[in-house]
Amino acid sequence: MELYCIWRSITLGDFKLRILYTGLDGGVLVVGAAAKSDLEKVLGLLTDEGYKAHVWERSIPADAVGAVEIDDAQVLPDREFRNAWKQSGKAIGHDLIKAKAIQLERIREARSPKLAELDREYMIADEKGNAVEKADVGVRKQLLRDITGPLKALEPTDIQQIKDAFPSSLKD
Amino acid sequence: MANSAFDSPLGVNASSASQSEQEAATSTTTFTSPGTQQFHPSASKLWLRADFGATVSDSYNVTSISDDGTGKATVTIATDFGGATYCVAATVNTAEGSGRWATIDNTSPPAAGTFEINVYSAAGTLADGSFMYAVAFGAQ
Repeated sequence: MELYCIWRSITLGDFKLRILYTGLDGGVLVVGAAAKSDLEKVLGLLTDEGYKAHVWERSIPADAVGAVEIDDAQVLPDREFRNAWKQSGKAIGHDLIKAKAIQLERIREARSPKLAELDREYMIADEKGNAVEKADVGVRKQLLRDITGPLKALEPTDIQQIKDAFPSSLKD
Repeated sequence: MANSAFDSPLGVNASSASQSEQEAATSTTTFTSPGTQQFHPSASKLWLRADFGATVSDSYNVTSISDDGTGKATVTIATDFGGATYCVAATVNTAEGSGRWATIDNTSPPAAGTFEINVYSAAGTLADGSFMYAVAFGAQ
């Protein structure tokens, strides 16, 4: 029994295979396998090769692009722009065009309730016949409409520039 | 076809239930053994706990989970179900105050060997959480 335990500890007993690939739509997929020891409760004892073969065969589609095994300890990018991940061999970077589009959409979503509030203020000013207040609201609405401008004009060279482009006035 | 026999409270020479007896779920003269109990219709055929970065922390009958994007994951089953009409339930946990709910994707409905989990924020957009959980029942 002791020898069996030693043998188990030096094989892939608790190892979890991890595979990275790109799907047909260009999205990056990360496959994390169950531990070999957990799979053996269903499939019976597996050799290390048998474990890897099972995971690859069951989990990786035939049309996967660039499928590659990565280290279980490899640190992946933070998930703020998860849908803009781009595979480069075993590494993951960002598709900056996709990331910029995601950030623009987030800005628009954050802006939307503020525009709605200004619409309400404008109507109240209109009902009161307050031309000064109406003009002020108009200016503030235009500022909000223009708030995507800096990011639209940005030609990013790294993901941090896109992260930093989220207007602080929309963060509350 | 019964397995090993021995004297038991069920009677002399009572035997452990075979897979087919477990699946039929009608015998009152055989007993359940650890190697076949999972074939009973009431038994879970699969369960899973994983994070949103495709790390399986604990599971049964799961080959892998795939992180497909924000709030999207695909579970690959080790031993398939007999069809695609099995019952699967999923849920998610996350930080207090950030509401999330999990659904089984129907645009790419469950197959015998896979199902997809989508997790949404309270605003109805795909979103990550802390951990997702799934459990499934049905005939294999």
